[in-house]
Amino acid sequence: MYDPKIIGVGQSEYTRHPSESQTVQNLMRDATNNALNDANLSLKDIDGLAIASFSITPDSAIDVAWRFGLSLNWLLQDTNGGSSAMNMLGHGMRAVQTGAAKNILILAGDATGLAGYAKIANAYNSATRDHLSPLGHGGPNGVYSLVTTRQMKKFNLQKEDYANLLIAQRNWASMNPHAVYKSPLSKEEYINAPIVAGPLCRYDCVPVIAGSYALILSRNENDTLQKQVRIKAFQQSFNYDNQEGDGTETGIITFKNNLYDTANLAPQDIDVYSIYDDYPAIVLAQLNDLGLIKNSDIKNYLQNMSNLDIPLNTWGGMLSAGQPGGMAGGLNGIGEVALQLQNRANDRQVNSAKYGIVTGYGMTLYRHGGTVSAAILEGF
Amino acid sequence: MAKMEIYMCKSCSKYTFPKKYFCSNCGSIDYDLVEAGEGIVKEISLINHMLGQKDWKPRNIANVETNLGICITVGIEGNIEVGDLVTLSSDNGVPIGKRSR
Ligand SMILES: [Zn+2]
Repeated sequence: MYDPKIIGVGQSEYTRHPSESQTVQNLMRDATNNALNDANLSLKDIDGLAIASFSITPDSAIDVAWRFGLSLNWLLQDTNGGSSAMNMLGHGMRAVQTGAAKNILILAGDATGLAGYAKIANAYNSATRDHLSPLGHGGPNGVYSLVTTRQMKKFNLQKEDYANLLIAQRNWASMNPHAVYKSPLSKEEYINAPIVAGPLCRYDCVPVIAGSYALILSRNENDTLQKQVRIKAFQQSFNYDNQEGDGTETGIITFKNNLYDTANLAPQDIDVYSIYDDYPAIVLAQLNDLGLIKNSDIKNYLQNMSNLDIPLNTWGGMLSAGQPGGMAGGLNGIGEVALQLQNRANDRQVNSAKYGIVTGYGMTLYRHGGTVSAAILEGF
Repeated sequence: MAKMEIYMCKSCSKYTFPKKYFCSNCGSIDYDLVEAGEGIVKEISLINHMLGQKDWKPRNIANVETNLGICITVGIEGNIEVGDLVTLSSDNGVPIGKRSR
């Protein structure tokens, strides 16, 4: 068995308003170029490709391989939305472990535009198309507004309690040159922001952007790096509650112990985390399920996170840096933890980070997301 | 508008909505339709903004716990508050709730 390592990361420009030349293919090309340079590899070294995108239709993964000049032994296209990035990481990890591929390019990107995104959101799956969109539910905003209300009731939270999470992520984003929103966010701005789907305001909903992100997963180390990053543990859960729960817990509760036991670590050993942040309530639900919120006291946790003390979503997360279709947003979170563990996150660097957690969450089925994944990464 | 109906597994009587191809409890594939009747409003969200639409008129959606015990997401006609009893009907399979008299 080989030991897969994340040996390179790269991204395109992230933009709210793509120019004509910023097509999904061009953005993916830019991210790929940057990741290859970072990994000290050339296209010829890549023998596996995993890709996720809402925007490449009518093309498929093989079309992208051809247009990128890639001849491969291993190919994957993942359509699982917010958990695509983690899904691709898991499949890629096993492919490298077993020798099915040596160097895998994991690539995601989107440039749907707002109108394109609205179309996707309203016909996201048959349940949404047939039973939610006709209500005028406003896409996932409507679904997670109800989940957020349930979380507020269950954990005795007020709307303003959430502000610190958004403020902290914005502070991190101010140090990420690629983030689309970098200017500080005040509590007043958050509280007075227009409501999109009550109780969710503008800042609770991810800004849809055009952009792409790429990772290189390899059996070899990258000699140009001082530190390598490996996957210590990897777990997933799909449709754990048949949509019968209230959405304030995630499938993480089915695998939390396995995750930490496999890595031989405990929650307090984790130095940095990228928690998939489609909505603040879902970040908190995942953190709580991962045992990262003391006594499940979410209110107390939020009250103490106004500065940069908590190394959570240190790239700013999708809520501040932007969400390229969900899929690339997930990859960015993984890449950020890799950078942190390799001690090359620049201004955002967390002191002596050795272990990090990354998650993916998504595929809103009817009442909440149906997929969740988590991995523990190790720098060495 | 038609009556709002929920699927009930013929084998184990578990309720479900939307319809599943197999019952998640017993694996049966046969269902009876049962009238949802009334339910209690658990949470409401006023949808103020619709992606890609400029002339959107805000409207409420709600999570309703039906008398059968199953929760469904419904559109709301008229005024509504959390805790209200609503009568459920179906607009082409889309659940609509209206405050019961
Ligand atoms: Zn059954």
